[in-house]
Formats: sequence, C-alpha cells, structure tokens
Amino acid sequence: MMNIIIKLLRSLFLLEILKGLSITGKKLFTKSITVQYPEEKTPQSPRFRGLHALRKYPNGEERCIGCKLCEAVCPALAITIDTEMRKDGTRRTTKYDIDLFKCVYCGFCEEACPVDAIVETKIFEFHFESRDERVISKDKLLEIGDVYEKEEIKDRNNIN
Amino acid sequence: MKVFINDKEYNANPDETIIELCDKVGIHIPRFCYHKHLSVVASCRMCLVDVEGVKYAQPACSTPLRDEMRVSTGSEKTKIAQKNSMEFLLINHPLDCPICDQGGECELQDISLEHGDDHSQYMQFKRVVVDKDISPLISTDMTRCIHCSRCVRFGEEISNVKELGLLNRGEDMKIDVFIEEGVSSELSANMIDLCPVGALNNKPYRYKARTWDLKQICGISPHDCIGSNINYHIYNNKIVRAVPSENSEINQTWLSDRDRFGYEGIYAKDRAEKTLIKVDGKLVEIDFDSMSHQVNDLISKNIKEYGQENIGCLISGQSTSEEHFLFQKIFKKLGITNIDHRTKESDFSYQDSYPIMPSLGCNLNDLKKYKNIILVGVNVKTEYPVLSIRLNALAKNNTKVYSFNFNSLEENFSLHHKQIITHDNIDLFLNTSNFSLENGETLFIIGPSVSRSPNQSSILRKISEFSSSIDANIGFLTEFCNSTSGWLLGNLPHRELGGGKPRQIGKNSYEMIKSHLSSYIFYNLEPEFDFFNKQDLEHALDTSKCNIFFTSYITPIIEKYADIIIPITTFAETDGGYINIEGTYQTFQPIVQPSKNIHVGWSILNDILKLNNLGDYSIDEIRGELAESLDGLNFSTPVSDMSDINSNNDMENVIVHDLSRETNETDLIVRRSESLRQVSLMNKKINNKNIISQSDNLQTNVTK
Repeated sequence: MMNIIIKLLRSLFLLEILKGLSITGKKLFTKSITVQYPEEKTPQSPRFRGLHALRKYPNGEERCIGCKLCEAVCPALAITIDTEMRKDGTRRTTKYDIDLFKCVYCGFCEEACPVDAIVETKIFEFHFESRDERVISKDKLLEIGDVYEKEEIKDRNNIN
Repeated sequence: MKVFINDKEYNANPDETIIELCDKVGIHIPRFCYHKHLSVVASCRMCLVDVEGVKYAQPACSTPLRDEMRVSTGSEKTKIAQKNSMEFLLINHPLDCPICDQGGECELQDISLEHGDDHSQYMQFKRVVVDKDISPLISTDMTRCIHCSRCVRFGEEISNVKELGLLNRGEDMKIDVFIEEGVSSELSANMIDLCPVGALNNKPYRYKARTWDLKQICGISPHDCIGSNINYHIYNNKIVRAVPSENSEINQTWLSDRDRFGYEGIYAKDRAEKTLIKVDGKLVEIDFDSMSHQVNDLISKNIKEYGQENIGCLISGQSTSEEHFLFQKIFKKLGITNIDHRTKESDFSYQDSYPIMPSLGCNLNDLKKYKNIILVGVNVKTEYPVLSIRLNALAKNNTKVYSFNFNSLEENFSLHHKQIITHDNIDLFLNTSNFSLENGETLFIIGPSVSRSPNQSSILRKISEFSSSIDANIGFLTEFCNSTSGWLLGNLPHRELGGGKPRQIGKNSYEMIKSHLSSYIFYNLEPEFDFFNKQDLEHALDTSKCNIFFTSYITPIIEKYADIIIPITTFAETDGGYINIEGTYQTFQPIVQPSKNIHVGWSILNDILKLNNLGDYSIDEIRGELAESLDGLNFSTPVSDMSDINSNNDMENVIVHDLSRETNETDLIVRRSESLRQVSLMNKKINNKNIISQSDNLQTNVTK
C-alpha cells in the first residue's frame, strides 16, 4: 500500500525528469569536449601514428638500408620492398611501397626499423581520388619525410 | 660403453666425442668451429659442457667419451661457460645484421640469442679488417669473421686447394688469401656454406633478398653426371641462389661452383621465348597453341617427301630421362632409325660391345673398396669437382690414384702416377712396367676425353684388354648429366629401350652429319659447341631442306638455318629426372614457372605423340613405364671386358690433345652463367700471369 503511494507521488512531481535535467544543466556550464573540425583540431600525442614517411640523414643520404625488417613484421602485409647493391656497394631499396588500404597503423614498422628510417607522422588527413593512389612509393615517402623532418625531430625529443 | 648425458643413459662407441653422440641423439650443443666433415680444432670454445668430475667445462667437440661419463649440457656451469664464450666472440663482431645477407640464417645470431647475454662488458672500439676482392663468387666482410677457421680447414682437408689461411696472431689475426690473385678453385663457394657468420657470402646473391622471404625447392644438378642434390632458393618466381642439399650417398654436404651458379644460365639474354617458323627466309612468330600441329605437320611432310632414312634425330645428353623416353618413342615409332645422343663423338665402332649404360659400376661410397683407381681421359678437378672431394679422401686413405690423359692437367689430389697419352705411347700407355699397381681391386674410370677422341674404340679395346689381364673393373664418367639415359632409353641407332637390338640399324650422329640428310631434328643442342665438328655440321645444315630445332636458346647458327624453332624449358622449369653415373634415378619438380610462351619439353613431345595416335602420357605414367621397362636390368655391375671391340679405324693411332673441357664450358646452361664466365676470365688472367712470370724466370736464368 505504502509503495503504491510513494510511486504515485514520484510520478506526480516528475522527480526523474528533474534529476535528468540537472545533469544537462550542469553540462551546459562546463567546457565543451567536442571540436569544430576542420576549423579546430584535437591535440595529438607526439607518439601519434599517422601517414608514413621515410627519413634522411642531415647530409641528405636516405636512412633506409633495405633490411626488410618492417616488411617482415608488418601484420597486414602492407609493405613491399626490393633491394639491390647500389654502385657504392651499400644495400639500398629499389622499391619501397606501402599499401595504405592494407595498413592498420599499428606502428610495428617504426619499432622494427634499426635506423629510424620509416616513421609514422602526425598526418592523419589524406585522401585519394582513385584506388591506384593507395600505394605510395619510395619517392613519395621520402618527400613526406623531407617536409615533416623538423616536426619529427621535435616529437622525438618530446618522447624522450 | 655406457654414458650419461643430462642424467639419461646412452650407448656410445669408443672414440666417439661428446658432440658426435649429442648430434646423433638430437641434443643441441652450440658450436662454430666444429663441422662433421672437418678436423677438430676446438678453437671457438662455444661447445663447452659440464663434465662431472672435471673442474672446468670441457669442449664437447674434442672431448672423447669414456665409460660411465656424466655430461650435462644445460647445467649452470655450462650456461656460464657458453655465455662467457659468446661475449668474447662478440667483442669484435659488428652489429650490422640488418645489412648482412647471413641475417636470418646466421649461426652467430641464433646462438647469441639462445646462449648469449643481452649486454657486454666491453666498451672498446671494435676491430676493422680491410676487405679484398677475392673472387667473383664470394663476397667478403672480414670484420665479421670470428676465426672459426672452417674455410681454412676446407681448403686443407676437403678440396686440397689451400687458398685461405689464418695470418698473424692475437688481435691482428685475419683470414686472408696467400696469393694475391684470389680464390679460384672449382669448389671455392662451399666456404660460403661453411662460414657460420656473414664473413664469406654469396656475391651474385648479395643484397637481393632476405632469407626468410625465400622458398626452397630441391633440384638435381644438370651439369655433371654425379647428380648432386641442390636446394634452389626462389624469390618472386626467380632463382636467386643455390645451396647443397645433403645427400650422404652422392654429394655429402658439398657442391661445385658450377652447380651452384650454373642456374644463372636460364636467365640468359638469348633465351628462346617465341615459337618461330621460317616463311620466305624470315622467322615469324606463330601461335602458342597451334605450334604442336605445325611441328607435327612438318615432321610428317618430311617423312613423306624424303623418307624415314633421310631424317636424322639428335637429342642432348642433358635432356631429362622423360624427354629421352618420349623422343625415342616418337621417332622410332615413326620408323626413323637415325637417332642418337652422342653428338660429341666421332668413332663408333665400339658401340656393339659397349655395356647397356655407361656407369661407374658402384656407388660413390663404395669407391673406397678399390685399392687402385686409374683415371683415363678425365680431369676430375675441372670436370667433376664433387668427385674430386671423394678421390682426395681416398688418396689420403691408401688408395692409389693414377691418371692417364691426353694433355697435362693438374688434379687437386695426390696422384701416384701421371702420364700423358701421346702418339708414341698409345700402344703401350697401359704397361705395368711403367707403374706398379697395389695389391687389391682396381677400377678404371674412363672419362669423356676418351669418348671425344677420334679413336676411342681402340683406346677402349686397349683398356679392356689390359683390365682383363689384371682382373680390373671398368667404370665410366659421361659427357653430360644424363648421357646414361640416352644409352639406357635407346636414343641410339643400334639399340632399343633397355638395350634390345632393333630390326634395322640406323646412322650414328657422325654419319648423320657427314652424309648430309634431307632433314634434321635437334633437341636441346647448341650447334656451336655440342658437336664433334662445327664446320661439318654447318655444311650439313646448309644442304639439308628442313631443320627443326627444339631449343632453349637461339644461337646464331640456329637462327640462320632453322625452319622452325620451338622454345623449350630448361631443367629449372620442368618435371624431370636424371639417371646419374651410379644408376640412381633422381626426379625433380619445376623450380620456377616458365614464361608464358615457352613449352614444357616433355609435354610438347607428348603432344606430338598424341597427334600421331601413338599414346598419351602423364609425367607419372612416363615414370611408371620407364621403371617398368628398366625393371630387372642390372646396370650397377662394373664392366670388365669389352675386348671384342673391333676398331678398324684409320685414325687408330692418332691422338688429339685438345680434348679437355673448361670447367665452366661443359653445357649450354653453364656457358651462359655470368658469374662463372667471370671466374673463367679471372683464371685466364692468373694463368697468363703465371706463364709470363715463368718465362721471366727462364730469361733471368739464361742471362745468369
């Protein structure tokens, strides 16, 4: 009997709705967590794993030595490498392709690299207009590396 | 003898060392300098194990087992000893595994992961050793060397060509060449396999692939009649390197350089890749599928127009047994009797008394029962490098090896007696007053220089007479890897498959070329090199009306005289098998896929057979029929008597001295291997230098 009366009183004064509205009211006056993309962007960790790049040494020599460890470790089989001996007798790649559709951005390639040649930059907004463009070649990767080298060094210093 | 390893009881033979027993029962002991075919030096100290009752850990490779011995391969003492050895070995070893071709199959890498420590107490600079360009086949990174001395011992004990040595002492110690010219022996590349680190590596393979990307398929050597087992390593449907496959009966763990790098020939520039037919004096390409009809029409037209007796069929001794089987099947069924595989010979009066198949008459492992081995017309060092390892071991072990050859050539095992067969001593070259034979069994090994000589029948008769007088056996070494199949499967004018006599005896290869037939069919032969006389052949091709070439390569003569060129597969792209000189039939599967316009050899022959309603075979059916028809034939007994050879030859006492072959010139695939060509060039350079320096010495002597 008593329970029924309490239930009736609760529904008469709309207590549940007021409780819910109080949360909404509270959130109205706190700082918003969403951002207005693309005008605004979320902060990125220095360890962010975005588009790949191949780095060079300060003297302009490419870092990659063609050891194929990234190819071996890649869980999605996204990397394809061919190597040969360059004229100066060093081991170099003739082909370094990454299939960005296959890539799962796990960062294993970065970790496996003994010379820090392949890195994942903070670039996360990129698009293709045809399916063929999904495979990025060595030239493209080196170009990305050139552009983002400064930022890469900054990120690396932040991590350590 | 009872011993305990890790508290488990094992039965050991006396004189057995710890590592030998452990290898036999499958207990892993890390090692670098120990190799089962090499002597024990115990220099790397990696195999240290804990022996009960001995204060310090003992090297397992040099410690013999004794009764009731207790060994522990996993105790704390063993672990500490191995960890410390590993640390010493890594003091000077560079950390360049990512660019080292050995990475992934490196013994040092594996053992350091399993038995080493994760850090080192040594912070000093590492030693650097300057590299030398020692060979076109072996790349050196001597900084990586851990001085196990396997390569040095290989040269001293196995190949008996001492090319590398350990120079200096202490930190200055290095493996280096004694003579500046470099490493040039026919077995040199075995050092690549022996090297446990990346110090000696495969030069043509350098930086091409990583070991974990490679697919391994076993093949049989197509370059000599020993039939070495080879593992081909494939990357992207291309052979990138070859390593020996262990077969204790045949090649043990060794491989000649020719077998190792010969595969490069299949990627030669002059590879035939289109079916071409001559229309109005020009070669034009024809459709892949209609090819078998075109060839068959051409053959039947030739038979109709010129008659069976005016057609000559020649097949190479390098073709597979399956191809040999189908080739004789087609043409003998079509009534052609002029069929032969002995294209390099010119004297055939021996042929009726010849055994059913040239064979050594025993297994290679049984060679040790002979006390005397007499080599006639063969230079084992250059022509059968893998066999020279066997003979070297025998020569050290009380077997006497004698050599009779047409020109003076070096062997890399010690010869008891060496004689050059000349015009003067042809009648007496086998005369016991010249040399003494040891008591015991004697084997003659007759090599390909005899079969190429224009009076081989008389030489064979002389050997046969002599051998029966001293009760010796006769064995053969053949020109090509599968000449045995040519004999056994009846690609001969005077014999059927299995050695039976045909109703009509046809012309042999020399007569075919000399008598200018109307039509020739060549299978897998290179006119430039594979015939007794190139000029005669060109003349015959010029006068004949139709020349059909089944070939893997388009050479200038083929291009000039062919009426149809059918591109066929090489050994690497087809199913097949070879019968080696012991009589062992070894089959193999395709190693790589042929490019799309190349025909598989046996299947194109089968198509022709099918079109003539003579049968239709699958590869297994061919092998089945082959085995059936050869069943019961005993070709493993050595020959001792061929004395009924009649040699009514005007050339009886003529000796041609230039009968030997260069090691890298033996067959059409080897001739196209770029790396081996560079080795030949290097050897020529060394020889020229030696000749010049010798003549210099002579001159100085004269002036003195």
